Amino acid sequence: MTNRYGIGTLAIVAPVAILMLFPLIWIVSVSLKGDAEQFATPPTLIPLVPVLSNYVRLIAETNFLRYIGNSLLVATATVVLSLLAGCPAAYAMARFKTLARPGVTSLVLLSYMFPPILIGIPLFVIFSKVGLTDSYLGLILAHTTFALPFVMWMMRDFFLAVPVEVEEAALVDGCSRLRLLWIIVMPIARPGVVAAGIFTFILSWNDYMYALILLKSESRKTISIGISLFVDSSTIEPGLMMAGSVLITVPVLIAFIFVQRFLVQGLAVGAVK
Amino acid sequence: MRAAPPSMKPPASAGTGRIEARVRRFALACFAPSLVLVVGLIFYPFLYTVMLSFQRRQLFEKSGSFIGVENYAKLLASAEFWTSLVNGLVFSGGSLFLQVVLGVALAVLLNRSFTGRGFFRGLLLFPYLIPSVVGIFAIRWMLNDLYGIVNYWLMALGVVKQALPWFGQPQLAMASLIAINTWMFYPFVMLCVLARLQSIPPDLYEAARMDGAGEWAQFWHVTLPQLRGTLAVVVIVRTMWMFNKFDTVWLTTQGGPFSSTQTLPVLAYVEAFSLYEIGRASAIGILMSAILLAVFVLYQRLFLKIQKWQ
Repeated sequence: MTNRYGIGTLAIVAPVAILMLFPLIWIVSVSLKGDAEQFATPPTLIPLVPVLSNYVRLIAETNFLRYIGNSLLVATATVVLSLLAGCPAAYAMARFKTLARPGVTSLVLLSYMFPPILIGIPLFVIFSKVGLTDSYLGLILAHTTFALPFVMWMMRDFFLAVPVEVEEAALVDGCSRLRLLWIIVMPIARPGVVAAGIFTFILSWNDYMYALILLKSESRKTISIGISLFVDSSTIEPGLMMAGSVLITVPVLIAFIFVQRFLVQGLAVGAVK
Repeated sequence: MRAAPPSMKPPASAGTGRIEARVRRFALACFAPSLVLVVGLIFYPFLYTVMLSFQRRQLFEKSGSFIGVENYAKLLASAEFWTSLVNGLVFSGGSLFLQVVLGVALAVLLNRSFTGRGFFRGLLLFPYLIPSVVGIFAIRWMLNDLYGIVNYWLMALGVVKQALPWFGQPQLAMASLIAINTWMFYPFVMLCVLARLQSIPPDLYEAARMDGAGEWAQFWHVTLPQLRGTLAVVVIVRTMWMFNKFDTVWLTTQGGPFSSTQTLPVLAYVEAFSLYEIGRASAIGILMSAILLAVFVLYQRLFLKIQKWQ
Protein backbone atom coordinates (compact mmCIF):
# COMPACT_ATOMS: atom_id res chain seq x y z
CA MET A 1 0.00 0.00 0.00
CA THR A 2 2.68 2.48 1.03
CA ASN A 3 4.77 1.49 -1.94
CA ARG A 4 2.06 2.55 -4.36
CA TYR A 5 2.49 6.18 -3.35
CA GLY A 6 6.27 5.89 -3.34
CA ILE A 7 6.53 7.16 0.23
CA GLY A 8 10.20 6.20 0.42
CA THR A 9 11.11 8.33 -2.60
CA LEU A 10 8.91 11.16 -1.43
CA ALA A 11 10.65 11.10 1.95
CA ILE A 12 13.94 11.90 0.24
CA VAL A 13 12.70 14.25 -2.48
CA ALA A 14 10.52 16.50 -0.33
CA PRO A 15 13.22 17.57 2.17
CA VAL A 16 15.71 18.14 -0.66
CA ALA A 17 13.13 20.26 -2.48
CA ILE A 18 12.52 22.35 0.64
CA LEU A 19 16.27 22.85 1.08
CA MET A 20 16.73 23.87 -2.56
CA LEU A 21 13.78 26.22 -2.49
CA PHE A 22 14.70 27.75 0.84
CA PRO A 23 16.59 30.72 -0.65
CA LEU A 24 13.49 31.60 -2.65
CA ILE A 25 11.25 31.31 0.39
CA TRP A 26 13.75 33.50 2.21
CA ILE A 27 13.62 36.17 -0.51
CA VAL A 28 9.85 36.44 -0.18
CA SER A 29 10.09 36.43 3.62
CA VAL A 30 12.67 39.23 3.81
CA SER A 31 10.80 41.30 1.23
CA LEU A 32 7.81 41.39 3.58
CA LYS A 33 9.73 42.47 6.69
CA GLY A 34 9.89 45.95 8.15
CA ASP A 35 13.20 47.80 8.60
CA ALA A 36 13.92 46.47 12.09
CA GLU A 37 12.84 42.90 11.50
CA GLN A 38 15.17 42.48 8.51
CA PHE A 39 18.13 42.65 10.89
CA ALA A 40 16.53 40.97 13.90
CA THR A 41 18.18 38.12 15.81
CA PRO A 42 16.88 35.46 15.77
CA PRO A 43 15.82 35.88 12.15
CA THR A 44 12.13 35.13 11.67
CA LEU A 45 11.02 32.80 8.90
CA ILE A 46 7.49 34.14 8.75
CA PRO A 47 7.49 37.92 9.27
CA LEU A 48 5.96 38.82 12.65
CA VAL A 49 4.52 41.97 11.15
CA PRO A 50 4.29 41.49 7.40
CA VAL A 51 4.47 44.83 5.60
CA LEU A 52 4.43 45.94 2.00
CA SER A 53 6.57 48.99 2.71
CA ASN A 54 9.57 47.59 0.79
CA TYR A 55 7.50 47.23 -2.35
CA VAL A 56 5.97 50.68 -1.90
CA ARG A 57 9.38 52.29 -1.34
CA LEU A 58 10.88 50.38 -4.24
CA ILE A 59 8.33 51.79 -6.63
CA ALA A 60 7.88 55.25 -5.13
CA GLU A 61 11.41 56.14 -4.02
CA THR A 62 13.79 54.29 -6.33
CA ASN A 63 14.26 54.07 -10.08
CA PHE A 64 13.02 50.49 -10.08
CA LEU A 65 10.26 51.06 -12.63
CA ARG A 66 12.76 52.84 -14.85
CA TYR A 67 15.09 49.81 -14.66
CA ILE A 68 12.17 47.51 -15.50
CA GLY A 69 11.27 49.68 -18.48
CA ASN A 70 14.86 49.66 -19.72
CA SER A 71 15.12 45.90 -19.40
CA LEU A 72 11.80 45.43 -21.19
CA LEU A 73 12.95 47.65 -24.04
CA VAL A 74 16.35 46.00 -24.42
CA ALA A 75 14.99 42.45 -24.10
CA THR A 76 12.15 43.02 -26.56
CA ALA A 77 14.42 44.60 -29.15
CA THR A 78 16.94 41.78 -28.71
CA VAL A 79 14.20 39.19 -29.28
CA VAL A 80 12.89 40.94 -32.41
CA LEU A 81 16.33 41.42 -33.91
CA SER A 82 17.57 37.90 -33.26
CA LEU A 83 14.34 36.24 -34.43
CA LEU A 84 14.17 38.31 -37.60
CA ALA A 85 17.76 37.56 -38.50
CA GLY A 86 18.03 34.10 -36.93
CA CYS A 87 14.92 32.28 -38.21
CA PRO A 88 15.63 32.62 -41.96
CA ALA A 89 19.26 31.71 -41.31
CA ALA A 90 18.27 28.64 -39.31
CA TYR A 91 15.84 27.66 -42.06
CA ALA A 92 18.56 27.99 -44.68
CA MET A 93 20.90 25.89 -42.54
CA ALA A 94 18.25 23.20 -42.17
CA ARG A 95 17.20 23.05 -45.83
CA PHE A 96 19.86 24.05 -48.31
CA LYS A 97 22.96 22.08 -49.17
CA THR A 98 25.03 25.25 -49.48
CA LEU A 99 24.59 26.00 -45.78
CA ALA A 100 24.05 22.54 -44.35
CA ARG A 101 27.77 21.86 -44.26
CA PRO A 102 29.29 20.84 -40.94
CA GLY A 103 31.58 23.87 -41.24
CA VAL A 104 28.67 26.32 -41.06
CA THR A 105 26.97 24.65 -38.12
CA SER A 106 30.25 24.38 -36.21
CA LEU A 107 30.85 28.05 -36.83
CA VAL A 108 27.49 28.94 -35.30
CA LEU A 109 28.16 26.72 -32.32
CA LEU A 110 31.65 28.17 -31.99
CA SER A 111 30.32 31.73 -31.99
CA TYR A 112 28.14 30.67 -29.09
CA MET A 113 31.08 29.38 -27.08
CA PHE A 114 33.22 32.52 -26.99
CA PRO A 115 33.89 33.68 -23.44
CA PRO A 116 31.46 36.61 -22.93
CA ILE A 117 34.24 38.66 -21.35
CA LEU A 118 36.25 38.23 -24.54
CA ILE A 119 33.38 39.80 -26.52
CA GLY A 120 32.61 42.43 -23.89
CA ILE A 121 36.07 44.02 -23.83
CA PRO A 122 36.47 44.69 -27.59
CA LEU A 123 32.80 45.65 -27.92
CA PHE A 124 33.38 48.36 -25.33
CA VAL A 125 36.40 49.68 -27.24
CA ILE A 126 34.66 49.53 -30.62
CA PHE A 127 31.40 50.95 -29.30
CA SER A 128 33.13 53.86 -27.60
CA LYS A 129 34.60 54.83 -30.99
CA VAL A 130 31.19 55.00 -32.63
CA GLY A 131 29.32 56.36 -29.61
CA LEU A 132 27.39 53.18 -28.79
CA THR A 133 28.52 52.76 -25.20
CA ASP A 134 25.91 53.76 -22.66
CA SER A 135 23.16 53.43 -25.25
CA TYR A 136 20.22 51.07 -25.61
CA LEU A 137 21.31 50.11 -29.12
CA GLY A 138 24.79 49.16 -27.91
CA LEU A 139 23.39 46.88 -25.22
CA ILE A 140 20.88 45.36 -27.66
CA LEU A 141 23.71 44.55 -30.08
CA ALA A 142 25.77 43.12 -27.23
CA HIS A 143 22.88 40.86 -26.21
CA THR A 144 22.52 39.80 -29.83
CA THR A 145 25.96 38.17 -29.51
CA PHE A 146 24.45 35.44 -27.35
CA ALA A 147 20.81 35.64 -28.50
CA LEU A 148 21.37 35.21 -32.23
CA PRO A 149 23.53 32.06 -32.15
CA PHE A 150 21.04 30.63 -29.65
CA VAL A 151 18.08 31.29 -31.97
CA MET A 152 19.95 29.91 -34.98
CA TRP A 153 20.92 26.78 -33.13
CA MET A 154 17.53 26.11 -31.59
CA MET A 155 15.44 26.97 -34.66
CA ARG A 156 17.60 24.83 -36.91
CA ASP A 157 16.45 21.81 -34.92
CA PHE A 158 12.85 22.90 -35.31
CA PHE A 159 13.07 23.38 -39.05
CA LEU A 160 14.75 20.00 -39.41
CA ALA A 161 11.68 18.49 -37.79
CA VAL A 162 9.27 20.16 -40.27
CA PRO A 163 8.47 17.62 -43.00
CA VAL A 164 9.93 18.58 -46.38
CA GLU A 165 7.01 17.04 -48.30
CA VAL A 166 4.66 19.93 -47.47
CA GLU A 167 7.14 22.39 -48.87
CA GLU A 168 7.81 20.34 -51.96
CA ALA A 169 4.10 20.20 -52.69
CA ALA A 170 3.82 23.97 -52.38
CA LEU A 171 6.80 24.44 -54.67
CA VAL A 172 5.24 22.23 -57.30
CA ASP A 173 2.16 24.47 -57.04
CA GLY A 174 4.38 27.40 -58.04
CA CYS A 175 4.76 29.03 -54.63
CA SER A 176 7.83 31.28 -54.36
CA ARG A 177 10.52 30.42 -51.81
CA LEU A 178 9.94 33.54 -49.77
CA ARG A 179 6.17 33.04 -49.62
CA LEU A 180 6.78 29.41 -48.76
CA LEU A 181 8.94 30.39 -45.80
CA TRP A 182 6.54 33.05 -44.58
CA ILE A 183 3.17 31.39 -45.23
CA ILE A 184 3.84 27.70 -44.77
CA VAL A 185 7.03 27.05 -42.84
CA MET A 186 6.84 29.77 -40.20
CA PRO A 187 3.29 28.90 -39.06
CA ILE A 188 4.28 25.25 -38.67
CA ALA A 189 7.35 26.24 -36.68
CA ARG A 190 5.49 28.83 -34.62
CA PRO A 191 5.70 26.98 -31.29
CA GLY A 192 9.44 26.85 -31.78
CA VAL A 193 9.63 30.53 -32.68
CA VAL A 194 7.64 31.47 -29.58
CA ALA A 195 9.80 29.28 -27.36
CA ALA A 196 13.04 30.62 -28.83
CA GLY A 197 11.70 34.16 -28.40
CA ILE A 198 10.83 33.63 -24.74
CA PHE A 199 14.17 32.01 -23.98
CA THR A 200 15.96 34.89 -25.70
CA PHE A 201 13.92 37.37 -23.72
CA ILE A 202 14.91 35.67 -20.46
CA LEU A 203 18.58 35.54 -21.47
CA SER A 204 18.57 39.28 -22.09
CA TRP A 205 16.46 40.04 -19.00
CA ASN A 206 18.95 38.12 -16.82
CA ASP A 207 22.16 39.55 -18.28
CA TYR A 208 24.46 41.26 -15.84
CA MET A 209 27.94 41.44 -17.36
CA TYR A 210 27.27 43.28 -20.61
CA ALA A 211 25.08 45.83 -18.85
CA LEU A 212 27.83 46.32 -16.26
CA ILE A 213 30.44 46.93 -18.96
CA LEU A 214 28.41 49.08 -21.34
CA LEU A 215 26.01 51.19 -19.29
CA LYS A 216 27.00 54.31 -17.36
CA SER A 217 24.05 56.62 -16.81
CA GLU A 218 21.50 55.87 -14.14
CA SER A 219 18.62 56.48 -16.53
CA ARG A 220 19.61 53.59 -18.82
CA LYS A 221 20.45 50.94 -16.25
CA THR A 222 18.73 47.57 -16.53
CA ILE A 223 17.25 45.66 -13.60
CA SER A 224 20.17 43.38 -12.80
CA ILE A 225 22.46 46.39 -12.48
CA GLY A 226 19.82 48.49 -10.76
CA ILE A 227 19.07 45.88 -8.19
CA SER A 228 22.70 45.33 -7.27
CA LEU A 229 22.89 49.02 -6.36
CA PHE A 230 20.74 48.33 -3.29
CA VAL A 231 23.52 46.20 -1.90
CA ASP A 232 26.70 47.70 -3.31
CA SER A 233 26.04 51.14 -1.88
CA SER A 234 27.29 51.85 1.62
CA THR A 235 23.97 50.99 3.22
CA ILE A 236 22.62 47.49 2.80
CA GLU A 237 18.94 47.41 1.96
CA PRO A 238 17.95 43.73 2.07
CA GLY A 239 14.24 44.52 2.11
CA LEU A 240 14.39 46.61 -1.07
CA MET A 241 16.72 44.12 -2.68
CA MET A 242 14.44 41.16 -1.98
CA ALA A 243 11.26 43.00 -2.97
CA GLY A 244 12.94 43.86 -6.27
CA SER A 245 14.07 40.25 -6.61
CA VAL A 246 10.52 39.00 -6.23
CA LEU A 247 9.21 41.46 -8.81
CA ILE A 248 11.81 40.62 -11.46
CA THR A 249 11.61 36.86 -10.88
CA VAL A 250 7.86 36.48 -11.20
CA PRO A 251 7.74 37.41 -14.93
CA VAL A 252 10.54 34.93 -15.62
CA LEU A 253 8.73 32.10 -13.85
CA ILE A 254 5.50 32.91 -15.71
CA ALA A 255 7.37 32.97 -19.02
CA PHE A 256 8.84 29.56 -18.27
CA ILE A 257 5.42 28.05 -17.78
CA PHE A 258 4.73 28.85 -21.44
CA VAL A 259 7.92 27.22 -22.69
CA GLN A 260 7.86 24.22 -20.37
CA ARG A 261 7.25 21.91 -23.32
CA PHE A 262 10.46 23.08 -24.96
CA LEU A 263 12.49 23.30 -21.79
CA VAL A 264 14.77 20.34 -22.47
CA GLN A 265 15.45 21.44 -26.04
CA GLY A 266 16.02 25.05 -25.05
CA LEU A 267 18.23 24.28 -22.10
CA ALA A 268 20.26 21.80 -24.06
CA VAL A 269 21.39 24.62 -26.34
CA GLY A 270 21.92 26.92 -23.40
CA ALA A 271 18.74 28.90 -22.74
CA VAL A 272 20.26 29.78 -19.40
CA LYS A 273 23.97 29.79 -18.89
CA MET B 1 27.83 17.74 -36.91
CA ARG B 2 24.67 15.90 -37.78
CA ALA B 3 23.53 13.87 -40.76
CA ALA B 4 22.99 16.27 -43.63
CA PRO B 5 19.37 17.44 -43.65
CA PRO B 6 17.21 16.46 -46.58
CA SER B 7 17.62 19.18 -49.15
CA MET B 8 14.65 20.12 -51.24
CA LYS B 9 14.62 18.87 -54.76
CA PRO B 10 13.37 21.29 -57.36
CA PRO B 11 10.38 20.09 -59.43
CA ALA B 12 11.62 17.55 -61.95
CA SER B 13 10.41 19.28 -65.11
CA ALA B 14 12.22 22.61 -64.59
CA GLY B 15 15.64 23.54 -65.93
CA THR B 16 17.67 22.27 -63.00
CA GLY B 17 20.80 24.41 -63.31
CA ARG B 18 19.06 27.78 -63.28
CA ILE B 19 16.76 26.78 -60.45
CA GLU B 20 19.68 25.57 -58.38
CA ALA B 21 21.40 28.90 -58.78
CA ARG B 22 18.21 30.64 -57.67
CA VAL B 23 17.85 28.36 -54.70
CA ARG B 24 21.40 29.07 -53.68
CA ARG B 25 20.80 32.83 -53.95
CA PHE B 26 17.72 32.48 -51.77
CA ALA B 27 19.64 30.42 -49.19
CA LEU B 28 22.41 32.98 -49.03
CA ALA B 29 19.90 35.85 -48.75
CA CYS B 30 18.31 34.07 -45.78
CA PHE B 31 21.67 33.63 -44.16
CA ALA B 32 23.18 37.03 -44.93
CA PRO B 33 21.69 39.19 -42.12
CA SER B 34 22.77 36.72 -39.45
CA LEU B 35 26.17 36.37 -41.06
CA VAL B 36 26.67 40.13 -40.98
CA LEU B 37 25.65 40.30 -37.31
CA VAL B 38 27.73 37.31 -36.22
CA VAL B 39 30.80 38.49 -38.10
CA GLY B 40 30.38 42.12 -37.04
CA LEU B 41 29.56 41.47 -33.39
CA ILE B 42 31.53 38.33 -32.61
CA PHE B 43 34.27 37.52 -35.09
CA TYR B 44 35.38 41.07 -35.81
CA PRO B 45 35.57 41.94 -32.08
CA PHE B 46 37.48 38.71 -31.58
CA LEU B 47 40.08 39.68 -34.19
CA TYR B 48 40.13 43.15 -32.68
CA THR B 49 41.00 41.58 -29.31
CA VAL B 50 43.81 39.64 -30.94
CA MET B 51 45.19 42.96 -32.21
CA LEU B 52 44.73 44.65 -28.83
CA SER B 53 46.52 41.80 -27.10
CA PHE B 54 49.74 42.76 -28.93
CA GLN B 55 49.54 46.37 -27.81
CA ARG B 56 50.27 48.44 -24.77
CA ARG B 57 47.12 50.45 -24.54
CA GLN B 58 45.03 52.29 -21.99
CA LEU B 59 41.27 51.89 -22.14
CA PHE B 60 40.41 55.39 -23.32
CA GLU B 61 43.40 55.90 -25.63
CA LYS B 62 42.67 56.15 -29.34
CA SER B 63 45.54 53.88 -30.26
CA GLY B 64 48.27 51.86 -28.58
CA SER B 65 51.84 50.90 -29.30
CA PHE B 66 52.73 47.51 -30.72
CA ILE B 67 54.75 45.51 -28.23
CA GLY B 68 54.64 42.03 -29.76
CA VAL B 69 54.03 39.18 -27.36
CA GLU B 70 55.05 41.15 -24.27
CA ASN B 71 51.55 40.97 -22.74
CA TYR B 72 51.50 37.21 -23.14
CA ALA B 73 55.03 36.78 -21.87
CA LYS B 74 54.33 38.89 -18.80
CA LEU B 75 51.07 37.10 -18.11
CA LEU B 76 52.55 33.63 -18.42
CA ALA B 77 55.34 34.71 -16.09
CA SER B 78 53.00 36.23 -13.50
CA ALA B 79 51.79 34.34 -10.48
CA GLU B 80 48.45 36.11 -10.79
CA PHE B 81 47.59 34.46 -14.07
CA TRP B 82 48.38 30.97 -12.88
CA THR B 83 46.60 31.49 -9.57
CA SER B 84 43.52 32.68 -11.46
CA LEU B 85 43.70 29.70 -13.79
CA VAL B 86 43.98 27.27 -10.89
CA ASN B 87 41.19 29.08 -9.02
CA GLY B 88 39.06 28.83 -12.13
CA LEU B 89 39.73 25.11 -12.41
CA VAL B 90 38.88 24.53 -8.74
CA PHE B 91 35.79 26.73 -9.10
CA SER B 92 34.50 25.03 -12.25
CA GLY B 93 35.68 21.54 -11.36
CA GLY B 94 34.15 21.70 -7.87
CA SER B 95 30.83 23.10 -9.04
CA LEU B 96 30.71 20.69 -11.92
CA PHE B 97 31.32 17.62 -9.77
CA LEU B 98 28.65 18.56 -7.24
CA GLN B 99 26.17 19.58 -9.94
CA VAL B 100 26.53 16.22 -11.65
CA VAL B 101 26.23 14.20 -8.44
CA LEU B 102 23.19 16.15 -7.23
CA GLY B 103 21.63 16.37 -10.69
CA VAL B 104 21.94 12.65 -11.44
CA ALA B 105 20.72 11.64 -7.97
CA LEU B 106 17.64 13.85 -8.26
CA ALA B 107 16.94 12.77 -11.84
CA VAL B 108 17.00 9.11 -10.79
CA LEU B 109 14.67 9.85 -7.87
CA LEU B 110 12.31 11.91 -10.03
CA ASN B 111 12.17 9.11 -12.57
CA ARG B 112 10.59 6.72 -10.03
CA SER B 113 6.88 6.93 -9.57
CA PHE B 114 5.61 8.65 -6.44
CA THR B 115 2.83 10.99 -5.44
CA GLY B 116 3.40 14.57 -6.62
CA ARG B 117 6.16 13.70 -9.05
CA GLY B 118 5.21 16.30 -11.66
CA PHE B 119 4.96 18.96 -8.98
CA PHE B 120 8.44 18.24 -7.62
CA ARG B 121 9.91 18.05 -11.12
CA GLY B 122 8.78 21.62 -11.69
CA LEU B 123 9.71 22.85 -8.22
CA LEU B 124 13.26 21.52 -8.32
CA LEU B 125 13.92 23.52 -11.49
CA PHE B 126 13.30 26.84 -9.79
CA PRO B 127 16.86 27.69 -8.72
CA TYR B 128 17.85 27.51 -12.38
CA LEU B 129 15.07 29.73 -13.62
CA ILE B 130 15.59 32.76 -11.41
CA PRO B 131 17.87 35.57 -12.64
CA SER B 132 21.38 34.86 -11.41
CA VAL B 133 21.65 38.27 -9.75
CA VAL B 134 18.61 37.36 -7.64
CA GLY B 135 19.95 33.95 -6.66
CA ILE B 136 23.40 35.27 -5.83
CA PHE B 137 22.14 38.09 -3.63
CA ALA B 138 19.66 35.81 -1.86
CA ILE B 139 22.45 33.43 -0.88
CA ARG B 140 24.75 36.32 -0.04
CA TRP B 141 22.23 37.67 2.43
CA MET B 142 21.63 34.22 3.93
CA LEU B 143 25.39 33.84 4.41
CA ASN B 144 25.89 37.34 5.81
CA ASP B 145 28.21 36.95 8.81
CA LEU B 146 26.25 39.29 11.09
CA TYR B 147 22.61 38.89 10.13
CA GLY B 148 22.63 35.72 8.01
CA ILE B 149 20.20 32.96 8.86
CA VAL B 150 22.74 30.22 8.09
CA ASN B 151 25.20 31.37 10.73
CA TYR B 152 22.34 31.82 13.18
CA TRP B 153 21.14 28.25 12.70
CA LEU B 154 24.60 26.76 12.78
CA MET B 155 25.27 28.50 16.08
CA ALA B 156 21.84 27.64 17.47
CA LEU B 157 22.42 23.98 16.63
CA GLY B 158 25.87 24.17 18.17
CA VAL B 159 27.68 23.21 14.95
CA VAL B 160 29.92 26.27 15.16
CA LYS B 161 30.78 28.49 18.12
CA GLN B 162 31.38 31.69 16.19
CA ALA B 163 29.78 33.20 13.13
CA LEU B 164 31.63 31.99 10.03
CA PRO B 165 32.92 34.63 7.57
CA TRP B 166 31.52 32.83 4.52
CA PHE B 167 33.10 35.17 2.02
CA GLY B 168 35.90 36.50 4.19
CA GLN B 169 38.22 33.54 4.49
CA PRO B 170 39.95 32.06 1.40
CA GLN B 171 38.91 28.38 1.51
CA LEU B 172 35.48 29.20 2.86
CA ALA B 173 34.90 31.81 0.16
CA MET B 174 35.73 29.34 -2.59
CA ALA B 175 33.45 26.76 -0.97
CA SER B 176 30.62 29.31 -0.79
CA LEU B 177 31.01 30.17 -4.47
CA ILE B 178 30.97 26.50 -5.41
CA ALA B 179 27.86 26.02 -3.30
CA ILE B 180 26.11 28.91 -5.08
CA ASN B 181 26.99 27.51 -8.50
CA THR B 182 25.92 24.00 -7.53
CA TRP B 183 22.61 25.30 -6.27
CA MET B 184 21.92 27.38 -9.36
CA PHE B 185 22.95 24.83 -11.98
CA TYR B 186 22.19 21.30 -10.72
CA PRO B 187 18.75 21.55 -12.43
CA PHE B 188 20.42 21.69 -15.84
CA VAL B 189 22.04 18.31 -15.21
CA MET B 190 18.86 16.99 -13.62
CA LEU B 191 16.74 17.97 -16.61
CA CYS B 192 19.07 16.58 -19.26
CA VAL B 193 19.57 13.31 -17.37
CA LEU B 194 15.86 12.94 -16.65
CA ALA B 195 15.06 13.33 -20.33
CA ARG B 196 17.56 10.60 -21.15
CA LEU B 197 16.36 8.29 -18.36
CA GLN B 198 12.85 8.36 -19.78
CA SER B 199 14.11 6.96 -23.06
CA ILE B 200 15.92 3.95 -21.58
CA PRO B 201 14.00 0.86 -22.73
CA PRO B 202 12.34 -0.81 -19.69
CA ASP B 203 13.25 -4.30 -20.89
CA LEU B 204 16.90 -3.56 -20.08
CA TYR B 205 15.88 -3.35 -16.42
CA GLU B 206 13.69 -6.42 -16.71
CA ALA B 207 16.60 -8.40 -18.09
CA ALA B 208 18.83 -7.14 -15.28
CA ARG B 209 16.23 -8.12 -12.68
CA MET B 210 15.95 -11.59 -14.17
CA ASP B 211 19.69 -11.88 -13.75
CA GLY B 212 19.11 -11.07 -10.07
CA ALA B 213 20.43 -7.49 -10.07
CA GLY B 214 19.34 -5.36 -7.12
CA GLU B 215 18.48 -1.69 -7.43
CA TRP B 216 22.04 -0.55 -6.87
CA ALA B 217 23.39 -3.02 -9.43
CA GLN B 218 20.75 -1.89 -11.89
CA PHE B 219 21.85 1.72 -11.48
CA TRP B 220 25.49 0.77 -11.88
CA HIS B 221 25.18 -1.63 -14.81
CA VAL B 222 22.14 -0.34 -16.72
CA THR B 223 21.44 3.31 -15.91
CA LEU B 224 24.96 4.72 -15.80
CA PRO B 225 26.18 3.16 -19.06
CA GLN B 226 23.03 4.48 -20.76
CA LEU B 227 23.71 7.95 -19.38
CA ARG B 228 27.29 8.00 -20.57
CA GLY B 229 26.62 9.97 -23.76
CA THR B 230 24.37 12.55 -22.11
CA LEU B 231 26.76 13.05 -19.24
CA ALA B 232 29.71 13.49 -21.57
CA VAL B 233 28.00 16.37 -23.33
CA VAL B 234 26.58 17.90 -20.16
CA VAL B 235 29.98 17.85 -18.51
CA ILE B 236 31.74 19.59 -21.39
CA VAL B 237 29.07 22.25 -21.86
CA ARG B 238 28.90 23.01 -18.16
CA THR B 239 32.69 23.09 -17.87
CA MET B 240 32.84 25.83 -20.48
CA TRP B 241 30.07 27.86 -18.90
CA MET B 242 31.49 27.55 -15.41
CA PHE B 243 34.93 28.51 -16.68
CA ASN B 244 33.43 31.69 -18.21
CA LYS B 245 31.24 32.47 -15.20
CA PHE B 246 31.70 36.05 -14.15
CA ASP B 247 28.74 37.20 -12.08
CA THR B 248 28.89 34.57 -9.34
CA VAL B 249 32.35 35.77 -8.39
CA TRP B 250 31.94 39.46 -9.15
CA LEU B 251 28.72 39.87 -7.16
CA THR B 252 30.07 38.12 -4.08
CA THR B 253 33.80 38.39 -3.46
CA GLN B 254 35.06 40.30 -6.54
CA GLY B 255 37.93 37.83 -6.50
CA GLY B 256 38.91 38.31 -2.87
CA PRO B 257 39.92 37.73 -0.15
CA PHE B 258 43.57 38.00 -1.27
CA SER B 259 42.73 36.89 -4.82
CA SER B 260 41.68 33.51 -3.47
CA THR B 261 38.57 33.42 -5.67
CA GLN B 262 39.94 35.40 -8.59
CA THR B 263 39.20 33.56 -11.83
CA LEU B 264 40.31 34.48 -15.36
CA PRO B 265 37.11 36.32 -16.39
CA VAL B 266 37.34 38.43 -13.23
CA LEU B 267 41.04 39.10 -13.78
CA ALA B 268 40.32 40.20 -17.36
CA TYR B 269 37.50 42.47 -16.19
CA VAL B 270 39.67 44.09 -13.51
CA GLU B 271 42.56 44.61 -15.93
CA ALA B 272 40.25 46.21 -18.50
CA PHE B 273 37.86 48.29 -16.46
CA SER B 274 39.60 48.98 -13.15
CA LEU B 275 43.24 49.21 -14.28
CA TYR B 276 42.42 50.27 -17.86
CA GLU B 277 45.09 47.85 -19.18
CA ILE B 278 43.10 46.86 -22.23
CA GLY B 279 46.05 45.14 -23.91
CA ARG B 280 46.72 42.84 -20.99
CA ALA B 281 43.00 42.17 -20.54
CA SER B 282 42.75 41.19 -24.19
CA ALA B 283 45.66 38.79 -23.84
CA ILE B 284 43.89 37.12 -20.92
CA GLY B 285 40.75 36.80 -23.03
CA ILE B 286 42.69 35.22 -25.89
CA LEU B 287 44.40 32.74 -23.57
CA MET B 288 40.99 31.84 -22.12
CA SER B 289 39.57 31.18 -25.53
CA ALA B 290 42.59 29.10 -26.47
CA ILE B 291 41.90 26.90 -23.45
CA LEU B 292 38.22 26.75 -24.37
CA LEU B 293 38.97 25.98 -27.98
CA ALA B 294 40.73 22.84 -26.83
CA VAL B 295 37.62 21.96 -24.85
CA PHE B 296 35.43 22.74 -27.85
CA VAL B 297 37.35 20.35 -30.10
CA LEU B 298 36.89 17.68 -27.47
CA TYR B 299 33.18 18.50 -27.31
CA GLN B 300 32.80 18.09 -31.05
CA ARG B 301 34.57 14.77 -31.04
CA LEU B 302 32.27 13.52 -28.30
CA PHE B 303 29.24 14.88 -30.11
CA LEU B 304 30.16 12.98 -33.25
CA LYS B 305 30.72 9.80 -31.30
CA ILE B 306 27.37 10.12 -29.58
CA GLN B 307 25.65 10.75 -32.88
CA LYS B 308 27.11 7.48 -34.08
CA TRP B 309 25.84 5.55 -31.07
CA GLN B 310 22.28 6.74 -31.38
